[in-house]
Amino acid sequence: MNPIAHAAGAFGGLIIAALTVSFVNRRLGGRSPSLRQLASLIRQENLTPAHADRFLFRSAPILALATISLAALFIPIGPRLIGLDATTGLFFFVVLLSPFVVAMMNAGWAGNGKHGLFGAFRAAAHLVSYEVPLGFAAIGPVMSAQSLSTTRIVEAQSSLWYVVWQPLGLVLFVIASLFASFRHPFDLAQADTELAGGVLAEYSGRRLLLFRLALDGLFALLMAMAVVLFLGGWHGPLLPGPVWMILKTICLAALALAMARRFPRLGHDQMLAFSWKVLLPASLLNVALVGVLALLLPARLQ
Amino acid sequence: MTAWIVFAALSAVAIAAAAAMLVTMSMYRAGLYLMSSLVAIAGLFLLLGADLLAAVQIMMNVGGMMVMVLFMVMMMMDPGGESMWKMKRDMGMRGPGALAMRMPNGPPPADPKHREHYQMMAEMAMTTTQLPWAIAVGAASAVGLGAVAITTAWPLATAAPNSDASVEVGHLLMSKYMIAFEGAAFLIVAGIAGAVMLGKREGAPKAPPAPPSAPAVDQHEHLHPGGHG
Repeated sequence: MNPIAHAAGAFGGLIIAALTVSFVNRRLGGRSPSLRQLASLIRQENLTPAHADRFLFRSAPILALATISLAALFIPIGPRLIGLDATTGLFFFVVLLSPFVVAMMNAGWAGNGKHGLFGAFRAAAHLVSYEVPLGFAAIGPVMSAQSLSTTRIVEAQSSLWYVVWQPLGLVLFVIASLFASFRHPFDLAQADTELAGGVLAEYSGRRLLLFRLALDGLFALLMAMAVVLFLGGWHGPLLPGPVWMILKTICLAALALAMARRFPRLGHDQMLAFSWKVLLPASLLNVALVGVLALLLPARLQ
Repeated sequence: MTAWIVFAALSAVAIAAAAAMLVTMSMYRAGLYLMSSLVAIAGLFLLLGADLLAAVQIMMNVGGMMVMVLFMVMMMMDPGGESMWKMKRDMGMRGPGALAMRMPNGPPPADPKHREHYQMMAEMAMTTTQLPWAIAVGAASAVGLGAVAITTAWPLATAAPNSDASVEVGHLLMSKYMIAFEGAAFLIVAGIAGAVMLGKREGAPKAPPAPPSAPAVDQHEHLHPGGHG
């Protein structure tokens, strides 16, 4: 197939996944806009604040959506149903999370407003604290499958899903995903009740729509990656692979969102302390544990 | 043919962004231009089939370094370059952006408003008087390197590129370069410990502050912890 079809497929899948996350979160009682509210953003006035850095302000939502769409290329939906089957696919996926933060920082900086600037500071400070636990949580499946290719990792789980003997890794990955996609307990950089929208404070209309889709899409992608890494990807009885993949992703996203709603929003210092004092040691422990288990467990179980 | 077009486009972006970094007045934009230049170089790596290197380049330079650079720049005075821009205008320095900024080497202007900018300029000029020399040396070495690259008879590699470089790199790091690899880990841990040590506020009270009934001397000691040697 040609690359344009792959890119279009990844982008379309991303938009549908983002809308699904928004819908699921609203059904669970979260503060997501309804589909009608999202659609009304298309007709809303597209404001640019006075003295804004116009180029950065306008390009930030597009940059955000573009990096997420690139990351979507590395998620396998089914056997041989993947945008780009690179041998280092997982690594590329993790790497593409940082340009997204650059887009968030540009948005906060360019709007020429206090709230946006504070949001930009927070987004940058959070990047360093979630990137390490996220990477370490993903190392477990890489060690077990002995590959960075996302399809190889799923194929290696045909007999036993990694969540069975790496449950800590899944929990850490999901928490770090909430962190990385600026979702509820960790949404200090774009919280609407705390910082008037933070990074998104100055955005309206279509640009706000693009940013919301990018944020929801990022969360959906991270959940899909958690399914790929820990929950056996497309493997499952009776139903075809892609259906299993989508079902698992939606269930995991709903579970994560429902659990996240049980916690109050963490303050900035609490987030950093939680990340460095709890998540990082736990992820190191997980790496050590997986290393020992990978040597002890019989090969057919892995 | 396509490869040549992509190569030309990426090289143009890398060079243009690097030049724009030198010219722009805004430190934030300078950081972004540097980032774009590095991303374009990562694209060149991809074009050469070194996808692991490209990913590392983006992770280290965009993810780690540049976000921290932008973060620090935003903490500085005048990150958007507006007052630098005014200073340059008041001092009557003509030329492209930051390249025309130079140390004031005449008597201060008569207008007191301009004189304020003159003093700021002398204190925080982002340029040196050697800039023309630096540009000349840089251009000369670029021409020299280009000449060497064109005139050298490069040997053609016959081996096929490795499709999964990460395996190879992993084996090398765990065998041949293990001592260097582990040594770097020690170095980084020492660096982190040093940073924490320096970051700790000097003389921060170890115990909770004295109760209100305590003698006034104690409170004085908390304010000037180094005063008694």
